[in-house]
Amino acid sequence: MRQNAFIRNRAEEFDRDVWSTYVLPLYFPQLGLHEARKSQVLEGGRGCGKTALLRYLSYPSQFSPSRMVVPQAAFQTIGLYLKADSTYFSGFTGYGKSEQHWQDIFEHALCLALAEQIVGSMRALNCTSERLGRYGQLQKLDFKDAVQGFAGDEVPADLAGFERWLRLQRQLLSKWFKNFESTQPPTLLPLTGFLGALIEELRSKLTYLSSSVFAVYVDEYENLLDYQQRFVNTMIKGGEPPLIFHVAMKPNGMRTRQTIGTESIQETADYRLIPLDEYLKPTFNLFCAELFFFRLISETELLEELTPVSTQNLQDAGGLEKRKVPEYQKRVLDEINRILPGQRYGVVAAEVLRDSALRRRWDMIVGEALKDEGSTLTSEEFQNSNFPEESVVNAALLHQRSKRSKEIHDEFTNLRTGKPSKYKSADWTHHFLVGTLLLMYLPLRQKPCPIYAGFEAFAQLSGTSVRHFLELCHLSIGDTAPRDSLVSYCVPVKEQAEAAVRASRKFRGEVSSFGDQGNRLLAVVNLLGKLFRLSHARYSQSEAERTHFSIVGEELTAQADQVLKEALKWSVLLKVPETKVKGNRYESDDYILNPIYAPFFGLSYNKGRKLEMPTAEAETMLAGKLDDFTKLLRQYEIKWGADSGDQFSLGLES
Amino acid sequence: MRRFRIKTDTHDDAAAPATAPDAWQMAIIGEDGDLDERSKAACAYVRACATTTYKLRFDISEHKNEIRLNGTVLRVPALKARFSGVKSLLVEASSLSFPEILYVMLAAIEAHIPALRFVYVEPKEYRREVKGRLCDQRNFELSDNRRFQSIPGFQTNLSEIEKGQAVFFLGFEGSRLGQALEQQEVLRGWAKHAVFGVPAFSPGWEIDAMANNVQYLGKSDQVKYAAAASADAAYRLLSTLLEQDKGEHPILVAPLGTKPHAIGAALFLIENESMDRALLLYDHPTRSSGRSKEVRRWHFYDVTDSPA
Repeated sequence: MRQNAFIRNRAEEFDRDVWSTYVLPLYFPQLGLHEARKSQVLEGGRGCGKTALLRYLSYPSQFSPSRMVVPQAAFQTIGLYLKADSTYFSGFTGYGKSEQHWQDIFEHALCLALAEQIVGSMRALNCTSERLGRYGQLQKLDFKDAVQGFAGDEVPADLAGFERWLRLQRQLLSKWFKNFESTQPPTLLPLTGFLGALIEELRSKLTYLSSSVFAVYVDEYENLLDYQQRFVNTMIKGGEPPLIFHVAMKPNGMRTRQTIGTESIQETADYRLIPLDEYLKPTFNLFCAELFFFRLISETELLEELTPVSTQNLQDAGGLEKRKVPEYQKRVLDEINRILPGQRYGVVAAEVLRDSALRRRWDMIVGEALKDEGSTLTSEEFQNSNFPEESVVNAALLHQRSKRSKEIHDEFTNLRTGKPSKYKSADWTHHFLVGTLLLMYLPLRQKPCPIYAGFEAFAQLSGTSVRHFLELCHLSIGDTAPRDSLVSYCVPVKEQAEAAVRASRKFRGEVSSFGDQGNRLLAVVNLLGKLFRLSHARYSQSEAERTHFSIVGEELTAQADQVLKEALKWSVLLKVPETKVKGNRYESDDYILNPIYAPFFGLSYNKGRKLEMPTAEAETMLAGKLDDFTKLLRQYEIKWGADSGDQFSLGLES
Repeated sequence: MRRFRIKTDTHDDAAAPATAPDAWQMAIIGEDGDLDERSKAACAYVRACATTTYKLRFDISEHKNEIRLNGTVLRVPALKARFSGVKSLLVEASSLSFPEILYVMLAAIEAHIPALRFVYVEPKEYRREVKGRLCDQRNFELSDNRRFQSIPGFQTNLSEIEKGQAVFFLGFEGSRLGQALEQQEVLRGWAKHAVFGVPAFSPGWEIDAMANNVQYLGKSDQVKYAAAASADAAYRLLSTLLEQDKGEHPILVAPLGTKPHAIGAALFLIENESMDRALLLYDHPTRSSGRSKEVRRWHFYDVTDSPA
């Protein structure tokens, strides 16, 4: 039992066998990976569940000892998981050796790894005496007969001997790496021929595998060097039963479509692209809620009956239909919304008027506007505890040049006396409330804004990253999850909001460790965070908050474009579906700053207006000097007339 | 019994020690010897002390992975051949990267050079990027791009070997540890040690290093200390970990901290690498020019080999 149900938020923290810990995503049947006879390219951002999915599909899970009955379907496709170890494979280059030479070595290393997995799958399938009795027949296998022709030294015939031989081959490769000059290179194995012969041996001798297909899942394909991607592409192009290659990668992970021959691979003809984030999005909230309860059950031993979910339905493909029933979904979402309650804007606004520090800020902003106008009205006349939202909005309205304090006061009086008012008819409250609330909280970093609390907010902040959602839960719940009953359990709004800011700070801090360009990506996040913040730092809130941007003018230089691609690859920026009609000029796609950074910078996570960033400015952000960032921010500060100098003393660096 | 002995000498002054022409038969300096003031001072000193000075470079750009000596591409055996018969070698470590130190050391030790000395010059301060406050306050801007990438002769697939202990020598740049853990997720299952330079080169620097790395450390990770200027302390720390592990699990070394620690780590790798006990994890940062200011003091490390 674990103290904290949500502390593990990466597939890598679980074992290879995820059979008893994996929750099937609702899109699972759409993948058709079990039956796929054509390659699939799974593309998804960080934390969307790629690795967990591939591990679920691979043999350690499918043939898990904890799976009571292995159905016939599990034999049809046997998954082999291969992670592209970037540190190791990226060293397969140079040192005066030709690319062809390195490619042969890469092929050999891949071949050995997969052969070990194929043998491993036989072991896993026959891991109990009961299974051995039912399937078994491993003594029929003759590996020497199957693959001797490819090998330099003698291949043992039996399974245990063959396993030792494979291990030895791996060690020989490793030994040779340590001393290229004075050690003989090992006999390099051709992947397709060697694995083909191995699989044929299994299919022909073991009747229960007679129609099995082996599916290789290459995880983190984006980490492979170009020639390594070309080799895997060749496997994609030429893949056919009984050996098929699938890959999983971050966005923009396929840098080349070339194969090692003259051809390149084409979507549809050679592979099917599966955008996992898009598949996940429609049911993301439900999936998060289900995972929440599943974790409480599996990690803290909360009784399943006390939750709205059934672990069997969550883990078994047969339960997927039941999870689509609207009544079930409502039950699950109602319960999570009860446990992780948000706060209505009215309540948040009331808190602004009640809390002494927030109220002082409201008084200051209102007072400043009245003074500037020379109004005889007092700030007290613009607040009423029965109308907290409108009272808060008044702070912004009073700073708007088009409105006089008298007019606003008249409307406020209408509101208070039950008459129609512009707060509703002109959408004053609707337009300005969220921005004004954030404005009130902004300089008070020790007071996290409650708009970041609540399950719905958590789901929105998470984008489609399950990892982000789990971290938000982990930080807000800690070790306090109940083990006996959920009836009176509810996580306070304040703790959730604090957790949102802490998670946001943590994930922002992680950015500098994102690949080759980590430091630059962190600078991009900081710049955009501050820029978007500036866009509605004006007391009047007359500038709409910018939450996303496009690049207009010329195309980016290769260097800046490379950084932009890295930002997308690491989900620092997310590409949003096209919302515009392009004219004659160049305009890029729209990009949104990952919403998980919103609480740190005091931004709203709802979509606001787009910033059209001229190419020169985008170049500065993506490839320019840090000194120029400040100039850029100053320009926008002047352009947007941001007030009060809040923005350069936000203390965002702490 | 440890194989190497390291004798340390410190010259506690910004000005270079007195030079003696031809005191050393050969010297090695980095190609980037003019990156900052201390590297310039160190290279000038080394040139003045040696009969012949070579520039060495290990280049990973465009996936070349090649060693160049005065511009000529060569491999470790050829480097060893160059060192053959050399009686004394002076290595300027301030201007060399970790793989460069490692390859020079490996070739020198295999060539049995009797007198092998490493020079390291401390800067007075590192450049901090605080303008516009767009970087974290404690973030010293030391390097740009980097990626953990294995180097010829030191390649191991961590996914294929048993779990062991990972030892991270840490400096100011917390993102390097973060990236290591991000890129090598397999290390999550390893026992981890974070080694900080204490005493630091300058009082207070250790706080910056700790503050920048703490977010990446877990509850079960061990924190250890070795004097920032001591190559011997780093070498002994690693050797002790190895000796104490009766299970003979691998020890992965990530020299992301001070240069003296890198010298100690390189010796440890050379001593134990052939037995698969010691593994390297390194990220090849591109060092930015003018990254440090002035000179604080000079360190000399004389390495003697007593092979078993």
